[in-house]
Amino acid sequence: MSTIRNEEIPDLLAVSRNMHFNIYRDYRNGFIICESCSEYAPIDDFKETFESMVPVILEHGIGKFIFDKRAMRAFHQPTMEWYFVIWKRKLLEIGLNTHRKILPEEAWFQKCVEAGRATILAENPDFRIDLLDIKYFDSISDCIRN
Amino acid sequence: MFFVRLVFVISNVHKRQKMIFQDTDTGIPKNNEVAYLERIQALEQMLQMTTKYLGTIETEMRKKNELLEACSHKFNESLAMSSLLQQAIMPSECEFKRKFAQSFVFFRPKDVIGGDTLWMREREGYLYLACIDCTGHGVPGAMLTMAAHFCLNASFENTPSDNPAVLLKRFNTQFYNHFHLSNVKEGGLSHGLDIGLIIINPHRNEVRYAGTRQNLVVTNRKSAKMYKGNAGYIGNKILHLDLSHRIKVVKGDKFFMFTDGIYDQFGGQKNKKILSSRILKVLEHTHSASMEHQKEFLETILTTWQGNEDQTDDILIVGFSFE
Repeated sequence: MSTIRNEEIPDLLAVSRNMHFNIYRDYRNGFIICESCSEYAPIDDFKETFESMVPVILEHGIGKFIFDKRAMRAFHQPTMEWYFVIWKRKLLEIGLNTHRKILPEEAWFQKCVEAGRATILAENPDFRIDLLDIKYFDSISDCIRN
Repeated sequence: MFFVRLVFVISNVHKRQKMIFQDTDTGIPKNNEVAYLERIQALEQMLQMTTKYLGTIETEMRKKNELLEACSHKFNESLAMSSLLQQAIMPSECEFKRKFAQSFVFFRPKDVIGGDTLWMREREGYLYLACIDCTGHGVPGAMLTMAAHFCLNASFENTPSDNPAVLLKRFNTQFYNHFHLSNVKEGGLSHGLDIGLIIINPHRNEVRYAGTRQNLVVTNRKSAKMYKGNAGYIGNKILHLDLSHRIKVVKGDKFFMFTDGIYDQFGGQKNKKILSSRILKVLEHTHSASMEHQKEFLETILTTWQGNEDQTDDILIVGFSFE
Protein backbone atom coordinates (compact mmCIF):
# COMPACT_ATOMS: atom_id res chain seq x y z
CA MET A 1 0.00 0.00 0.00
CA SER A 2 1.44 3.38 -1.01
CA THR A 3 0.17 6.81 -0.19
CA ILE A 4 0.05 9.46 -2.91
CA ARG A 5 -1.18 12.83 -1.66
CA ASN A 6 -3.27 11.26 1.09
CA GLU A 7 -4.74 8.64 -1.23
CA GLU A 8 -3.98 5.08 -0.28
CA ILE A 9 -3.38 3.07 -3.41
CA PRO A 10 -2.91 -0.68 -2.99
CA ASP A 11 -0.33 -2.75 -4.86
CA LEU A 12 1.87 0.14 -5.89
CA LEU A 13 5.52 -0.39 -6.57
CA ALA A 14 7.95 2.55 -6.47
CA VAL A 15 9.88 2.52 -9.72
CA SER A 16 12.09 5.56 -9.31
CA ARG A 17 12.30 8.88 -7.59
CA ASN A 18 14.10 12.13 -8.29
CA MET A 19 13.86 15.77 -7.30
CA HIS A 20 10.84 16.42 -9.55
CA PHE A 21 8.96 13.16 -9.98
CA ASN A 22 7.98 9.95 -8.22
CA ILE A 23 7.25 7.04 -10.53
CA TYR A 24 5.09 4.10 -9.46
CA ARG A 25 3.69 1.16 -11.30
CA ASP A 26 1.08 -1.44 -10.65
CA TYR A 27 1.75 -4.56 -12.61
CA ARG A 28 -1.56 -6.14 -11.70
CA ASN A 29 -3.75 -3.45 -13.25
CA GLY A 30 -1.22 -2.34 -15.80
CA PHE A 31 -0.79 1.37 -15.11
CA ILE A 32 2.15 3.63 -14.38
CA ILE A 33 1.91 6.80 -12.32
CA CYS A 34 4.15 9.82 -12.68
CA GLU A 35 3.64 12.13 -9.71
CA SER A 36 5.18 15.58 -9.92
CA CYS A 37 6.67 16.76 -6.64
CA SER A 38 8.15 20.12 -7.55
CA GLU A 39 6.73 23.31 -9.00
CA TYR A 40 8.88 23.08 -12.08
CA ALA A 41 11.02 20.48 -13.85
CA PRO A 42 13.75 21.72 -16.21
CA ILE A 43 13.55 20.24 -19.69
CA ASP A 44 16.57 17.93 -19.31
CA ASP A 45 15.30 16.46 -16.05
CA PHE A 46 11.83 16.11 -17.50
CA LYS A 47 13.03 14.29 -20.62
CA GLU A 48 15.29 12.01 -18.62
CA THR A 49 12.47 10.97 -16.30
CA PHE A 50 10.00 10.39 -19.06
CA GLU A 51 12.48 8.49 -21.24
CA SER A 52 13.21 6.26 -18.26
CA MET A 53 9.55 5.20 -18.10
CA VAL A 54 9.45 3.83 -21.65
CA PRO A 55 11.38 0.58 -20.99
CA VAL A 56 9.30 -0.02 -17.84
CA ILE A 57 6.09 0.35 -19.84
CA LEU A 58 7.44 -1.97 -22.51
CA GLU A 59 8.69 -4.57 -20.09
CA HIS A 60 5.44 -4.85 -18.13
CA GLY A 61 3.05 -4.26 -21.01
CA ILE A 62 1.51 -1.30 -19.19
CA GLY A 63 -1.56 0.11 -20.91
CA LYS A 64 -2.31 3.27 -18.93
CA PHE A 65 -0.25 6.32 -18.01
CA ILE A 66 -1.34 8.54 -15.11
CA PHE A 67 0.28 11.95 -14.85
CA ASP A 68 -0.36 13.78 -11.58
CA LYS A 69 0.67 17.39 -12.18
CA ARG A 70 -0.80 18.82 -9.00
CA ALA A 71 2.53 20.04 -7.62
CA MET A 72 3.44 21.86 -10.82
CA ARG A 73 3.07 25.61 -11.10
CA ALA A 74 5.00 26.25 -14.30
CA PHE A 75 5.56 24.39 -17.52
CA HIS A 76 7.99 25.04 -20.28
CA GLN A 77 6.23 25.00 -23.65
CA PRO A 78 9.07 23.26 -25.58
CA THR A 79 9.08 20.60 -22.84
CA MET A 80 5.34 20.16 -23.17
CA GLU A 81 5.61 19.98 -26.93
CA TRP A 82 8.22 17.24 -26.62
CA TYR A 83 6.08 15.40 -24.07
CA PHE A 84 2.98 15.70 -26.20
CA VAL A 85 4.27 15.12 -29.71
CA ILE A 86 7.40 12.99 -29.30
CA TRP A 87 6.90 11.07 -26.09
CA LYS A 88 3.20 10.34 -26.47
CA ARG A 89 3.74 9.22 -30.06
CA LYS A 90 6.46 6.88 -28.87
CA LEU A 91 4.07 5.44 -26.29
CA LEU A 92 1.40 5.03 -28.92
CA GLU A 93 3.85 3.02 -31.02
CA ILE A 94 4.43 0.63 -28.13
CA GLY A 95 0.70 0.29 -27.55
CA LEU A 96 -0.11 2.75 -24.76
CA ASN A 97 -2.80 5.22 -25.73
CA THR A 98 -4.64 5.73 -22.42
CA HIS A 99 -3.59 8.88 -20.59
CA ARG A 100 -5.15 10.04 -17.36
CA LYS A 101 -4.19 13.39 -15.92
CA ILE A 102 -4.67 15.41 -12.76
CA LEU A 103 -4.13 19.17 -12.91
CA PRO A 104 -3.55 21.61 -10.08
CA GLU A 105 -6.76 23.18 -8.78
CA GLU A 106 -5.77 26.69 -9.87
CA ALA A 107 -7.95 27.88 -12.75
CA TRP A 108 -5.15 29.98 -14.23
CA PHE A 109 -2.92 26.92 -14.52
CA GLN A 110 -5.69 24.88 -16.13
CA LYS A 111 -6.31 27.67 -18.65
CA CYS A 112 -2.57 27.77 -19.43
CA VAL A 113 -2.60 24.01 -20.05
CA GLU A 114 -5.57 24.46 -22.38
CA ALA A 115 -3.71 27.23 -24.23
CA GLY A 116 -0.55 25.12 -24.40
CA ARG A 117 -2.41 22.14 -25.80
CA ALA A 118 -4.22 24.29 -28.39
CA THR A 119 -0.87 25.80 -29.46
CA ILE A 120 0.78 22.39 -29.81
CA LEU A 121 -2.11 21.02 -31.84
CA ALA A 122 -2.16 24.10 -34.08
CA GLU A 123 1.58 23.82 -34.68
CA ASN A 124 1.53 20.04 -35.23
CA PRO A 125 -1.43 19.37 -37.50
CA ASP A 126 -0.15 15.87 -38.30
CA PHE A 127 -0.36 14.80 -34.68
CA ARG A 128 -3.23 12.29 -34.36
CA ILE A 129 -4.77 13.28 -31.02
CA ASP A 130 -7.83 11.25 -31.94
CA LEU A 131 -5.78 8.07 -31.47
CA LEU A 132 -5.23 8.93 -27.81
CA ASP A 133 -7.67 8.45 -24.98
CA ILE A 134 -6.94 11.43 -22.73
CA LYS A 135 -9.11 12.22 -19.72
CA TYR A 136 -8.77 14.51 -16.73
CA PHE A 137 -9.72 13.57 -13.17
CA ASP A 138 -9.33 14.98 -9.67
CA SER A 139 -7.77 11.99 -7.93
CA ILE A 140 -5.46 9.04 -8.54
CA SER A 141 -8.28 6.63 -7.59
CA ASP A 142 -10.53 8.11 -10.28
CA CYS A 143 -7.71 7.87 -12.82
CA ILE A 144 -7.22 4.20 -11.94
CA ARG A 145 -10.93 3.41 -12.03
CA ASN A 146 -11.70 5.16 -15.32
CA MET B 1 -8.45 36.43 -12.34
CA PHE B 2 -5.97 33.78 -13.34
CA PHE B 3 -3.99 36.45 -15.23
CA VAL B 4 -3.54 38.37 -11.99
CA ARG B 5 -2.48 35.15 -10.33
CA LEU B 6 -0.04 34.29 -13.11
CA VAL B 7 1.54 37.78 -13.07
CA PHE B 8 1.79 37.41 -9.30
CA VAL B 9 3.56 34.07 -9.72
CA ILE B 10 6.01 35.57 -12.23
CA SER B 11 6.78 38.57 -10.02
CA ASN B 12 7.38 36.23 -7.09
CA VAL B 13 9.77 34.24 -9.21
CA HIS B 14 11.71 37.42 -9.97
CA LYS B 15 11.86 38.19 -6.27
CA ARG B 16 12.99 34.66 -5.52
CA GLN B 17 15.71 34.93 -8.13
CA LYS B 18 17.38 37.55 -5.93
CA MET B 19 17.49 35.12 -3.05
CA ILE B 20 18.29 32.24 -5.31
CA PHE B 21 20.37 30.30 -2.86
CA GLN B 22 17.70 30.20 -0.16
CA ASP B 23 14.86 28.86 -2.32
CA THR B 24 13.95 25.19 -2.09
CA ASP B 25 10.20 25.35 -3.03
CA THR B 26 10.69 24.76 -6.71
CA GLY B 27 12.81 21.66 -6.33
CA ILE B 28 15.52 23.25 -8.44
CA PRO B 29 19.00 22.89 -6.95
CA LYS B 30 20.13 26.08 -5.27
CA ASN B 31 23.11 26.47 -7.52
CA ASN B 32 21.28 25.78 -10.81
CA GLU B 33 20.81 29.30 -12.09
CA VAL B 34 20.10 28.09 -15.64
CA ALA B 35 17.11 26.09 -14.42
CA TYR B 36 15.82 29.11 -12.51
CA LEU B 37 16.04 31.26 -15.61
CA GLU B 38 14.31 28.52 -17.63
CA ARG B 39 11.49 28.53 -15.11
CA ILE B 40 11.05 32.30 -15.35
CA GLN B 41 11.10 32.00 -19.12
CA ALA B 42 8.53 29.21 -18.93
CA LEU B 43 6.17 31.32 -16.83
CA GLU B 44 6.54 34.30 -19.15
CA GLN B 45 5.87 32.04 -22.13
CA MET B 46 2.79 30.64 -20.38
CA LEU B 47 1.48 34.17 -19.88
CA GLN B 48 2.12 35.18 -23.50
CA MET B 49 0.72 31.99 -24.94
CA THR B 50 -2.41 32.10 -22.78
CA THR B 51 -2.98 35.78 -23.59
CA LYS B 52 -2.73 34.99 -27.29
CA TYR B 53 -4.97 31.95 -26.90
CA LEU B 54 -7.62 33.92 -25.01
CA GLY B 55 -7.44 36.63 -27.66
CA THR B 56 -8.15 34.00 -30.33
CA ILE B 57 -11.05 32.61 -28.31
CA GLU B 58 -12.45 36.09 -27.81
CA THR B 59 -12.33 36.77 -31.55
CA GLU B 60 -14.00 33.44 -32.28
CA MET B 61 -16.68 34.12 -29.69
CA ARG B 62 -17.32 37.57 -31.11
CA LYS B 63 -17.76 36.06 -34.59
CA LYS B 64 -20.08 33.38 -33.25
CA ASN B 65 -22.09 35.97 -31.33
CA GLU B 66 -22.49 38.03 -34.47
CA LEU B 67 -23.64 34.92 -36.32
CA LEU B 68 -26.08 34.08 -33.53
CA GLU B 69 -27.46 37.61 -33.52
CA ALA B 70 -27.96 37.48 -37.29
CA CYS B 71 -29.70 34.09 -37.00
CA SER B 72 -31.83 35.31 -34.13
CA HIS B 73 -32.85 38.42 -36.09
CA LYS B 74 -33.77 36.33 -39.13
CA PHE B 75 -35.64 33.86 -36.95
CA ASN B 76 -37.59 36.61 -35.14
CA GLU B 77 -38.50 38.25 -38.44
CA SER B 78 -39.72 34.92 -39.72
CA LEU B 79 -41.77 34.35 -36.54
CA ALA B 80 -43.30 37.83 -36.72
CA MET B 81 -44.39 37.17 -40.30
CA SER B 82 -45.75 33.75 -39.32
CA SER B 83 -47.70 35.37 -36.51
CA LEU B 84 -49.34 37.76 -38.99
CA LEU B 85 -50.24 34.82 -41.22
CA GLN B 86 -51.65 32.86 -38.30
CA GLN B 87 -53.78 35.80 -37.17
CA ALA B 88 -54.95 36.44 -40.74
CA ILE B 89 -56.77 33.10 -40.89
CA MET B 90 -58.51 33.72 -37.55
CA PRO B 91 -61.55 35.98 -37.32
CA SER B 92 -60.40 39.27 -35.87
CA GLU B 93 -61.95 40.64 -32.68
CA CYS B 94 -63.62 43.35 -34.81
CA GLU B 95 -65.17 40.77 -37.07
CA PHE B 96 -66.28 38.85 -34.03
CA LYS B 97 -67.81 41.97 -32.50
CA ARG B 98 -69.83 42.54 -35.65
CA LYS B 99 -71.54 39.22 -34.96
CA PHE B 100 -71.77 39.71 -31.21
CA ALA B 101 -71.71 43.27 -29.87
CA GLN B 102 -71.08 41.86 -26.41
CA SER B 103 -68.06 39.60 -26.87
CA PHE B 104 -64.32 39.18 -26.53
CA VAL B 105 -61.46 37.10 -27.86
CA PHE B 106 -58.56 36.58 -25.48
CA PHE B 107 -55.64 35.08 -27.40
CA ARG B 108 -52.25 34.75 -25.73
CA PRO B 109 -49.91 32.25 -27.41
CA LYS B 110 -47.09 30.95 -25.23
CA ASP B 111 -44.61 31.97 -27.92
CA VAL B 112 -44.94 34.40 -30.83
CA ILE B 113 -47.03 31.83 -32.64
CA GLY B 114 -48.95 28.93 -31.16
CA GLY B 115 -51.21 25.94 -31.49
CA ASP B 116 -54.51 27.60 -30.50
CA THR B 117 -56.81 29.09 -33.09
CA LEU B 118 -60.34 30.28 -33.68
CA TRP B 119 -62.41 29.34 -36.72
CA MET B 120 -65.65 30.99 -37.82
CA ARG B 121 -67.92 30.53 -40.84
CA GLU B 122 -71.49 31.44 -41.72
CA ARG B 123 -74.05 29.62 -43.86
CA GLU B 124 -77.72 30.39 -44.38
CA GLY B 125 -77.83 32.50 -41.27
CA TYR B 126 -76.22 29.77 -39.12
CA LEU B 127 -73.01 30.74 -37.43
CA TYR B 128 -70.28 28.11 -36.94
CA LEU B 129 -67.65 28.84 -34.35
CA ALA B 130 -64.78 26.57 -33.27
CA CYS B 131 -62.16 26.96 -30.58
CA ILE B 132 -59.19 24.75 -31.49
CA ASP B 133 -56.19 23.57 -29.46
CA CYS B 134 -53.58 21.72 -31.53
CA THR B 135 -50.91 19.44 -30.06
CA GLY B 136 -47.88 21.39 -28.89
CA HIS B 137 -47.18 25.08 -29.22
CA GLY B 138 -44.72 27.28 -31.08
CA VAL B 139 -43.93 26.49 -34.72
CA PRO B 140 -45.27 22.90 -34.87
CA GLY B 141 -48.47 23.93 -33.09
CA ALA B 142 -48.91 26.85 -35.49
CA MET B 143 -48.39 24.65 -38.55
CA LEU B 144 -51.04 22.31 -37.24
CA THR B 145 -53.50 25.21 -36.83
CA MET B 146 -53.09 26.02 -40.54
CA ALA B 147 -53.83 22.40 -41.43
CA ALA B 148 -56.79 22.39 -39.04
CA HIS B 149 -58.29 25.46 -40.77
CA PHE B 150 -57.78 23.85 -44.15
CA CYS B 151 -59.42 20.57 -43.11
CA LEU B 152 -62.25 22.25 -41.22
CA ASN B 153 -63.03 24.49 -44.20
CA ALA B 154 -63.11 21.46 -46.49
CA SER B 155 -65.34 19.54 -44.07
CA PHE B 156 -67.65 22.52 -43.70
CA GLU B 157 -68.01 22.88 -47.50
CA ASN B 158 -68.82 19.19 -47.87
CA THR B 159 -71.11 18.75 -44.88
CA PRO B 160 -74.38 20.67 -45.16
CA SER B 161 -75.44 19.92 -41.62
CA ASP B 162 -76.28 21.98 -38.56
CA ASN B 163 -75.23 19.13 -36.30
CA PRO B 164 -71.76 19.85 -34.79
CA ALA B 165 -71.12 16.14 -34.15
CA VAL B 166 -71.62 15.34 -37.84
CA LEU B 167 -69.25 18.11 -38.87
CA LEU B 168 -66.64 17.02 -36.30
CA LYS B 169 -66.78 13.42 -37.55
CA ARG B 170 -66.17 14.61 -41.08
CA PHE B 171 -63.40 16.88 -39.86
CA ASN B 172 -61.75 14.01 -38.01
CA THR B 173 -61.72 11.83 -41.13
CA GLN B 174 -60.36 14.70 -43.21
CA PHE B 175 -57.62 15.45 -40.67
CA TYR B 176 -56.74 11.78 -40.19
CA ASN B 177 -56.34 11.22 -43.92
CA HIS B 178 -54.61 14.53 -44.51
CA PHE B 179 -51.81 13.65 -42.10
CA HIS B 180 -51.63 9.96 -43.07
CA LEU B 181 -52.16 9.16 -39.41
CA SER B 182 -52.80 5.54 -40.31
CA ASN B 183 -49.02 5.35 -40.94
CA VAL B 184 -48.13 6.27 -37.36
CA LYS B 185 -47.06 2.71 -36.60
CA GLU B 186 -44.68 2.80 -39.55
CA GLY B 187 -42.98 5.92 -38.20
CA GLY B 188 -45.51 8.56 -39.23
CA LEU B 189 -46.22 11.56 -37.02
CA SER B 190 -48.68 11.34 -34.17
CA HIS B 191 -50.58 14.52 -33.44
CA GLY B 192 -54.06 15.80 -33.08
CA LEU B 193 -56.23 18.52 -31.65
CA ASP B 194 -58.98 19.31 -29.19
CA ILE B 195 -61.93 21.29 -30.43
CA GLY B 196 -65.15 22.87 -29.26
CA LEU B 197 -67.69 23.57 -32.03
CA ILE B 198 -70.78 25.71 -31.68
CA ILE B 199 -73.48 26.10 -34.29
CA ILE B 200 -75.91 28.94 -33.65
CA ASN B 201 -79.34 28.58 -35.16
CA PRO B 202 -80.89 32.08 -35.16
CA HIS B 203 -84.23 30.80 -36.45
CA ARG B 204 -84.82 28.64 -33.39
CA ASN B 205 -82.76 30.66 -30.87
CA GLU B 206 -80.74 27.57 -30.29
CA VAL B 207 -77.08 26.71 -29.85
CA ARG B 208 -75.77 23.25 -30.63
CA TYR B 209 -72.46 22.18 -29.16
CA ALA B 210 -70.08 19.25 -29.50
CA GLY B 211 -66.47 19.07 -28.51
CA THR B 212 -63.51 16.80 -28.01
CA ARG B 213 -61.77 17.33 -24.67
CA GLN B 214 -63.22 20.83 -24.52
CA ASN B 215 -66.20 22.07 -22.54
CA LEU B 216 -68.62 24.91 -23.13
CA VAL B 217 -69.50 27.19 -20.23
CA VAL B 218 -72.84 29.01 -20.17
CA THR B 219 -73.66 31.52 -17.46
CA ASN B 220 -76.85 33.29 -16.58
CA ARG B 221 -77.97 35.42 -13.64
CA LYS B 222 -78.42 32.39 -11.43
CA SER B 223 -75.64 29.96 -12.26
CA ALA B 224 -72.86 28.71 -14.47
CA LYS B 225 -73.18 25.44 -16.32
CA MET B 226 -70.55 23.36 -18.03
CA TYR B 227 -71.47 21.32 -21.12
CA LYS B 228 -68.99 18.50 -21.44
CA GLY B 229 -67.05 17.61 -24.52
CA ASN B 230 -66.20 14.05 -25.58
CA ALA B 231 -63.17 12.12 -24.40
CA GLY B 232 -61.54 11.44 -27.79
CA TYR B 233 -59.60 13.89 -29.90
CA ILE B 234 -59.38 14.84 -33.54
CA GLY B 235 -56.74 12.66 -35.19
CA ASN B 236 -58.11 9.33 -33.93
CA LYS B 237 -59.02 6.69 -36.46
CA ILE B 238 -62.39 6.24 -34.78
CA LEU B 239 -63.99 9.16 -32.99
CA HIS B 240 -66.95 8.61 -30.69
CA LEU B 241 -69.06 11.70 -30.25
CA ASP B 242 -71.74 10.57 -27.82
CA LEU B 243 -72.09 13.95 -26.17
CA SER B 244 -73.81 16.58 -28.25
CA HIS B 245 -75.80 19.38 -26.66
CA ARG B 246 -78.77 21.55 -27.64
CA ILE B 247 -79.05 24.72 -25.61
CA LYS B 248 -82.00 27.08 -25.78
CA VAL B 249 -80.75 30.64 -25.94
CA VAL B 250 -82.18 33.06 -23.39
CA LYS B 251 -81.45 36.76 -23.65
CA GLY B 252 -78.50 37.68 -21.44
CA ASP B 253 -76.95 34.19 -21.45
CA LYS B 254 -73.23 34.19 -21.89
CA PHE B 255 -71.21 31.52 -23.69
CA PHE B 256 -67.52 30.82 -23.14
CA MET B 257 -65.16 28.48 -24.97
CA PHE B 258 -61.64 27.78 -23.76
CA THR B 259 -58.55 25.90 -24.77
CA ASP B 260 -56.95 24.23 -21.74
CA GLY B 261 -54.11 26.78 -21.52
CA ILE B 262 -55.76 28.88 -18.83
CA TYR B 263 -56.78 25.90 -16.69
CA ASP B 264 -53.30 24.43 -16.88
CA GLN B 265 -51.46 27.62 -15.98
CA PHE B 266 -49.18 27.01 -12.99
CA GLY B 267 -48.84 29.57 -10.23
CA GLY B 268 -50.46 30.70 -7.01
CA GLN B 269 -48.93 30.22 -3.58
CA LYS B 270 -48.40 26.48 -4.04
CA ASN B 271 -47.49 26.63 -7.74
CA LYS B 272 -50.52 24.62 -8.85
CA LYS B 273 -52.81 24.78 -11.85
CA ILE B 274 -55.65 27.32 -11.89
CA LEU B 275 -58.15 24.58 -12.84
CA SER B 276 -61.53 25.00 -14.52
CA SER B 277 -63.46 25.24 -11.24
CA ARG B 278 -61.82 28.57 -10.36
CA ILE B 279 -62.47 29.99 -13.81
CA LEU B 280 -66.07 28.83 -13.65
CA LYS B 281 -66.54 30.65 -10.32
CA VAL B 282 -65.07 33.85 -11.73
CA LEU B 283 -67.40 33.75 -14.71
CA GLU B 284 -70.37 33.05 -12.46
CA HIS B 285 -69.55 35.86 -10.04
CA THR B 286 -68.85 38.40 -12.75
CA HIS B 287 -71.82 37.47 -14.93
CA SER B 288 -73.45 40.88 -14.58
CA ALA B 289 -70.32 42.71 -15.77
CA SER B 290 -69.84 43.59 -19.43
CA MET B 291 -67.93 41.13 -21.64
CA GLU B 292 -65.04 43.62 -21.83
CA HIS B 293 -64.85 43.70 -18.04
CA GLN B 294 -65.03 39.94 -17.82
CA LYS B 295 -62.11 39.72 -20.20
CA GLU B 296 -60.19 42.10 -17.95
CA PHE B 297 -61.10 40.01 -14.88
CA LEU B 298 -59.80 36.87 -16.57
CA GLU B 299 -56.60 38.64 -17.62
CA THR B 300 -56.02 39.96 -14.11
CA ILE B 301 -56.66 36.59 -12.52
CA LEU B 302 -54.37 34.86 -14.98
CA THR B 303 -51.58 37.41 -14.52
CA THR B 304 -51.85 37.35 -10.73
CA TRP B 305 -51.96 33.56 -10.59
CA GLN B 306 -49.06 33.20 -12.99
CA GLY B 307 -46.83 35.62 -11.06
CA ASN B 308 -43.27 35.00 -12.13
CA GLU B 309 -43.99 31.56 -13.58
CA ASP B 310 -43.60 30.95 -17.31
CA GLN B 311 -46.77 30.68 -19.35
CA THR B 312 -47.58 26.96 -19.43
CA ASP B 313 -49.38 26.72 -22.76
CA ASP B 314 -51.13 28.76 -25.43
CA ILE B 315 -54.31 30.40 -24.16
CA LEU B 316 -57.48 31.13 -26.12
CA ILE B 317 -60.78 32.19 -24.58
CA VAL B 318 -63.83 33.29 -26.50
CA GLY B 319 -66.88 34.81 -24.85
CA PHE B 320 -70.11 36.20 -26.26
CA SER B 321 -73.62 36.93 -25.12
CA PHE B 322 -77.00 37.17 -26.82
CA GLU B 323 -78.54 40.60 -26.46
